[in-house]
Amino acid sequence: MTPPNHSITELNDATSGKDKLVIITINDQPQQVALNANLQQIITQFSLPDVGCVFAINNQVVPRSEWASTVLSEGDSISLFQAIAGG
Amino acid sequence: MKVLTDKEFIRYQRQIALPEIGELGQAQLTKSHVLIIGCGGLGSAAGLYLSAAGVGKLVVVDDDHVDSSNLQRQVVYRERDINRMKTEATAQQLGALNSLVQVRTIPKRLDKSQLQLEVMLADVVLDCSDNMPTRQLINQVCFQQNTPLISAAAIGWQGQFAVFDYSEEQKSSGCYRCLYPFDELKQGMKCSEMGVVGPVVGTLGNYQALAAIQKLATGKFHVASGHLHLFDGARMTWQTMVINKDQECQVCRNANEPQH
Repeated sequence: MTPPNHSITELNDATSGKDKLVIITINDQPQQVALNANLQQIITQFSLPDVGCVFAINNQVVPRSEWASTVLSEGDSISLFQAIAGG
Repeated sequence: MKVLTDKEFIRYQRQIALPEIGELGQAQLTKSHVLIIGCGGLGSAAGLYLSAAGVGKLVVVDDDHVDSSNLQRQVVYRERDINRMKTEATAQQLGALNSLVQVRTIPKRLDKSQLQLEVMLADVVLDCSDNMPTRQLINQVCFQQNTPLISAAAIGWQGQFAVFDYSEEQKSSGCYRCLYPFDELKQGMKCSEMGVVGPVVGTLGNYQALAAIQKLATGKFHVASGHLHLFDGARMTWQTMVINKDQECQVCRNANEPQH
């Protein structure tokens, strides 16, 4: 369940800097993640499939070697899709 | 200067009429050589359109026989082709469609050195194969030989399409392996298990033919190279992603630096 936006604002106000959250979308579903979370952490947090999968942020494919160094920002849109090989 | 015969001019008039193609573009197509790897649903659609368009030489590669379960989407085949080699049946159909086109068949899986030779002879390569190890090998060889690669895949209601113009001087965008740095797919992602809608794979094969005609007849791709086009055959929409270079890519990393 994704809480409505206002509760997240309250949550942000009530916490100190290190616990701040940002809203992103994963395949068009809004999700909250920790401020400065990287893509690898988000994949782990949401138990996203990563075998044979590609992740793009704002329609830019993120190379696998950059998953751990790519930090998400408020409003970023993650697209997750499977590689296919059928011909 | 007359570059086409009267017969060719009449036959190809509808594409010669396009200002981007014209008689010279048609003459270029007539002199071109395309390698089509895989004679399934993609190869069926692409092969038919490229033969119809008058590409001079087509080389078709596949190690399989025609099965009745192929006919639902592999539209180059007829019922009488069941149990024939796919390459032989494909060559016959493409030749019947256009006797001005030369079709050569390779009824087996190519090893790396054979693939290198075939890619060397080709102006563009169409990856119409159905498995990841073949796709990775085709990418590696096309990259090394600076040969444009037109890649597509389909399963279920989805398709993926990308052009990698390795003939560009600056290979600044990502390669196929930057996008998919693995040799195996998740289990259960095969057409035999997942199913595939015929016109979905046909759409992707037609995209491959269209990109090939762009490059061969006009000298360049008009579709952006290094972009992944995702097709959703249920909603009938396309989405485009930029394929970024992976600095640790096994294939294209340090490609412009001397090898040690």
